[in-house]
Amino acid sequence: MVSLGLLAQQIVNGLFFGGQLALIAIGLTLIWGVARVLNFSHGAMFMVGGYVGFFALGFTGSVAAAILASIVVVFALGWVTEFALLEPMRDREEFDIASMVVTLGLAIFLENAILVGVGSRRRAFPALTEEVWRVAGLTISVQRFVIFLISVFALAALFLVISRTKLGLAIRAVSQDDQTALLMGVRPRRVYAITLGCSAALAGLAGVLLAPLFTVYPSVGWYPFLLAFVVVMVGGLGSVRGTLIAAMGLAIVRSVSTIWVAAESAMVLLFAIMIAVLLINPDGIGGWIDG
Amino acid sequence: MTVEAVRLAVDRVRSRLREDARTRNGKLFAAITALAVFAPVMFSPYRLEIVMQLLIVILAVASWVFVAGYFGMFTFAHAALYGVGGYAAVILAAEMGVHPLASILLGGVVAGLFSLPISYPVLRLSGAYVGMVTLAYAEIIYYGTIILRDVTGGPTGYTGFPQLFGGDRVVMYYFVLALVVALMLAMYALLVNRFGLVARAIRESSDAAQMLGNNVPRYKLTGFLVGSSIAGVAGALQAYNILIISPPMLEIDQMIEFMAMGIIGGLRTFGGAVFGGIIVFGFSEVLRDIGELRLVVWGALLIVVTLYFPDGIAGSSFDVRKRFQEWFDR
Amino acid sequence: MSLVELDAVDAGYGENQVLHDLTLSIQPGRVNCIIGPNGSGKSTTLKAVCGLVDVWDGTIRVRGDDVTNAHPRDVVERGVVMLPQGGNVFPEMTVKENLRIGAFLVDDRDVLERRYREVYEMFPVLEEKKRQRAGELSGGQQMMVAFGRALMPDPEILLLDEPSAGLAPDLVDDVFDQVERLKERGRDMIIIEQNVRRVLDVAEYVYVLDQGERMYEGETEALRDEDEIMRMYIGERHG
Ligand SMILES: Nc1ncnc2c1ncn2[C@@H]1O[C@H](COP(=O)(O)OP(=O)(O)OP(=O)(O)O)[C@@H](O)[C@H]1O
Ligand SMILES: [Mg+2]
Repeated sequence: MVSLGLLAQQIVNGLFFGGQLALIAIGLTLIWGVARVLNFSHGAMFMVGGYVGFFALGFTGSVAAAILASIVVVFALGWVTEFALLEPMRDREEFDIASMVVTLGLAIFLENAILVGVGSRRRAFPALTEEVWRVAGLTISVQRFVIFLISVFALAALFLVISRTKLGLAIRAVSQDDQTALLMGVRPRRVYAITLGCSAALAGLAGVLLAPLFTVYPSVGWYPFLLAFVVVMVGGLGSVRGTLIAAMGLAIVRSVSTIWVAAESAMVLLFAIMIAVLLINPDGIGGWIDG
Repeated sequence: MTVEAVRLAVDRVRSRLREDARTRNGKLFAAITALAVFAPVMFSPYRLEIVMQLLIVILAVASWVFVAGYFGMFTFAHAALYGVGGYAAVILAAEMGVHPLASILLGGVVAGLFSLPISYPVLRLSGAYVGMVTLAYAEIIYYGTIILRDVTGGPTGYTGFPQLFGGDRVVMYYFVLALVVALMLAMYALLVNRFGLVARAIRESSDAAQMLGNNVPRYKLTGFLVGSSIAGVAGALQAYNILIISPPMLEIDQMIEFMAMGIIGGLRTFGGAVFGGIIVFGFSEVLRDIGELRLVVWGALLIVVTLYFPDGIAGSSFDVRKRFQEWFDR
Repeated sequence: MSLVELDAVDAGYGENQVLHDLTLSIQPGRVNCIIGPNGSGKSTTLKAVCGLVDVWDGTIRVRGDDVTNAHPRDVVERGVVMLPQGGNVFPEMTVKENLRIGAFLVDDRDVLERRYREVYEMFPVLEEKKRQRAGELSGGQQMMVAFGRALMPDPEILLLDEPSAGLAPDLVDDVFDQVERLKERGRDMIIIEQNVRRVLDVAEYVYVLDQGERMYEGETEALRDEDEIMRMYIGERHG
């Protein structure tokens, strides 16, 4: 029998973890929803965010500067990726597969270019704070709490942009019907580039925020990518709300299941859930709540 | 199938072979095969090992092209099934006393069986979704090999199984060469006949193929099963070749490597696997000294080929003048 | 100066040529219509004007400005707005958001408010349903959303691609009433219609397309005397 305390602790851990997952996953779902790109370099963007943050912190000594630098640099990386790699293929019939392959190539390229350039050494990113709070028998890491808050803040900002601004209107229009959006005077190419930039910037932000937990090394992005991938599938590719729910749900499932089973088995469980959801409804949770 | 039908199919393969042999790719393949036959007298034992690995990799990539290129089922589970074949073969041989030669075939059978649970979603979904669901399945298998350490030896892998042909590398080499050529020919034979025609029709439009009266699910299932089983055989050969099988052999990196070879070689041409294998794998060996830089080159190559040579090396014309002309015509 | 001018235009999709050496010169101050059999290239003509179809050869001008293969945005900026065939509303957006994006290039709040009012006045049902997702509306209401969306930027030249297609008879009447009203206010229009009889009642000038070529052009009145054209493209019963 598990103690209620442990269960509650794991649920809280899961909740915090869910915030991190959502931050990584939301960019992945966004870019699929708008541009039909399954971005396999999302993890690499996360990794680049970590490195940019690491070096920026070294130069400036300021965490805020590090975060800002990651966001800006990785946004630019996403923008360039759209124009240099994806845009030229957009008219192809098998764009979904071709874009998958090209972003996979980009992921290999970035990961190993970093490996060659700065080496495979794990760079420790200083913790924001070591402090912990004890509330009602629960242990809460202040650092994780802060990361959670920043994630929530970033996601809320994204929501507002998409639902309230003219840019958001253009993004939604292009995601629904890019030809008709053209007739309204929208420039879809620019919208794709901005969206890929934002999606990448979110990965970059996650990369620097989570650097104190994951450390920074060339292949650091793969594990978060795979997790985000599962989240996005379960949530329903392209559904922002579904992705948020899935991130929270799966993080808690993972966190709680590790009370009983090893981390590898927890991963198997997540992937099995993903296959089951794809089988029942390829649109995932989003297919039910948005539909 | 009647005897007559088989005879017709064989005739068709023969005439297509004769035709294809006269093309640029055909001539290159003939030269490569000749080279492969004389490899044991030309290369040092170390080099021969490499060539043997390359042959096996080509078989694995070809079986992926068979599934992904011809049917358009872009599976990520191939490397995992390749690994399953490897594990199954050596474990059967070591623990149950199955003859190593028989275990290689059984490796293929087991890989085929392992492809069945995922075949249902693969048949139902399309495009990128096939990639997603098979990627999840591949991860499950990968973590499975780590979790089931009592059976698989866990993260460090499985070793100490009987060797093929008592460790005679030259005999082993010819066995591998013969098996690889035979299986490649078998896939080729399928593809130049009605089966391949329907496969391509399914890739272009599954609905249209169905309306023309083809049993699309059955064709897709057969293609997936055959491709996966052959990957299993390749995995078994590789396990016997390098004398160990471990989780990294079926990790996503391995899958990406197969994919890169298939795509760079050309997904629309069965022989693309040969080019892709030689270029990527051979390249990696030659460039071993420059270390990780070769992976940078690879990633770039994958991007350039997808952007500018969507039919890969086997399917593209390298007539410089013509390329130039196209460039200006645009 | 012509309002919209196609000069020896060849255009098509991929390898497939649809418009063959098409020359049209559309004059201001009248309602124009394009008729012709299915697949004759009517929609393609309007799409070429808007920059949605590759023009292979020839020139397209709007009020004398060359807009051949221009970005659709440049065409919209010149006051040319199209209601695409079938409407193509954005189904996941609310009615009001659909109208908003119709005036994507307008930023002035007061202007926007005025346009909303005008559109709601023309189609009162849209005001009632302004917070509803467009995809949830009936086909007829979606067409009104699309019509309203096309009016939002207050276009100088309105291109209507089969605005009455698939509508119930009383809604067809509504659509033609609106076209009449726009005509009275002096709005320049090019209308594609299958409903030839109704469109000939409003249009002052007719173009007949077949297989991407211009078979006839002239005043609506004059057309009634063209027995050959009437028989081939319009059918006796409409005459
Ligand atoms: N997006 C497209 N891609 C390829 N071919 C197209 C496309 N749209 C139209 N066509 C082809 O171009 C030709 C002309 O089509 P178009 O839509 O201009 O005809 P239309 O006169 O508007 O016909 P309808 O009365 O059916 O609307 C047709 O043969 C059609 O098949
Ligand atoms: Mg039309």
